[in-house]
Amino acid sequence: MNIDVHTLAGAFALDALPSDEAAEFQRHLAECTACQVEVAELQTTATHLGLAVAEQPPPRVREAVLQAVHQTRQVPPPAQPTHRRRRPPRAWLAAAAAAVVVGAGAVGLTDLVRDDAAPRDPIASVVAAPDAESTAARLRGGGRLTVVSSEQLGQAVVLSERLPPAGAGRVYQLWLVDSDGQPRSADVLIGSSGAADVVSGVEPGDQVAITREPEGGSEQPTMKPLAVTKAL
Amino acid sequence: MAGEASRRLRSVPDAAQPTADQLLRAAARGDEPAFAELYDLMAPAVFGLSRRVVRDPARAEEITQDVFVSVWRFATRFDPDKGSARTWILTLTHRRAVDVVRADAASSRREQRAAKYDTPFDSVLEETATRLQGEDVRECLETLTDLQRESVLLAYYGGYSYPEVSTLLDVKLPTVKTRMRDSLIRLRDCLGAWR
Repeated sequence: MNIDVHTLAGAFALDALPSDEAAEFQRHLAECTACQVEVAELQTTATHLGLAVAEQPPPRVREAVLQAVHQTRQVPPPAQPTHRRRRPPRAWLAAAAAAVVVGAGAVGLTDLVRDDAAPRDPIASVVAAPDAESTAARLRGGGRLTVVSSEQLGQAVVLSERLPPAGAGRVYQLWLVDSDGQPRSADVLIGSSGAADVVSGVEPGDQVAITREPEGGSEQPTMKPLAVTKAL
Repeated sequence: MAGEASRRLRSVPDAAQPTADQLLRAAARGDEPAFAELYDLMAPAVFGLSRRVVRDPARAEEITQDVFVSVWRFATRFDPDKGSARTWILTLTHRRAVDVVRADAASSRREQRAAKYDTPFDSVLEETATRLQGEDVRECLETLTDLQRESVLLAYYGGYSYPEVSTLLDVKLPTVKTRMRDSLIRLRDCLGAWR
């Protein structure tokens, strides 16, 4: 990534990035450990600015919060590294091992924490989900896929970059692959590089895969995936 | 639920007082009394920050409520390796408050606000100077250049995006981005925030 993206850490920690740039920075963050550390530090610094303006809220807020909490179920804790004990994937997925899987590691929770009730832009709301996690993978033959997903929303944002031309009468198609290795179409076709798409109906254990298919897409993939990366 | 008196007592610094991290981890196991303590510990910062950004006390109350319900719901996802509970909660608060402010922009109230920027601009800086509680924070802010300080304060307390800050301060976009980063780094070093 260029140096310019790197300088966004400060603005990001201050929530001062417009949503498109926040998404871009988020993507960069997923693969830049140094940036994750810096953002965490700068957010800690910003926290001091927040603590400096403390003001006692009216008691009714406390009552309302505790009452709401009493009636609110907590989300389950994240599964322990499931990919370790997950059943070995079936043939179709196993073939994907050849498609170098690069897990970028989860982005720090604090970097992505945001309330669930702030929709507007569907991409922004996934990226901003409190439980958003990010992974990335390179495609065989070039290009890369970055996935930011939220279990809570059951959605993932898939960013595809620098994809080589799909070829005449061909498109790229995204798939969700369940923990048994069964692909189902994510109903997203990508004709050109640089797309960001929201995929819905993502379930825990799913992975995102990408293939090249005839124009109009296929019911089932007609080739081994070019890349696979964890969604949830 | 603690009474008013015991709540006040609890807010007095005390070596035996559990930290926000400990309370949040207990809350993650469904411990409502621990969550109530966490509320007492963090609610002033959450409410104060929300109010500073959105200004309307009623909306700041709503944000405070939303934030704490989210903290409860997602307590299980808090990872102390990635930052403190205080930072987790205040990051959530600030983003929520900024979302509210930006949603106002969509309904165009904010364009008007940005157009006659003398009012919010001056008041953000002025109030900050007079109302900051942390002596250390105030002192550290004074070590910044005017441009660094104004960039950070307008973004953090004003809820402005960096392009807006660039307009308000009449400086180039890349300059504002750089100032935001280097002033936070300077504050971090001054506060010794990263322990």
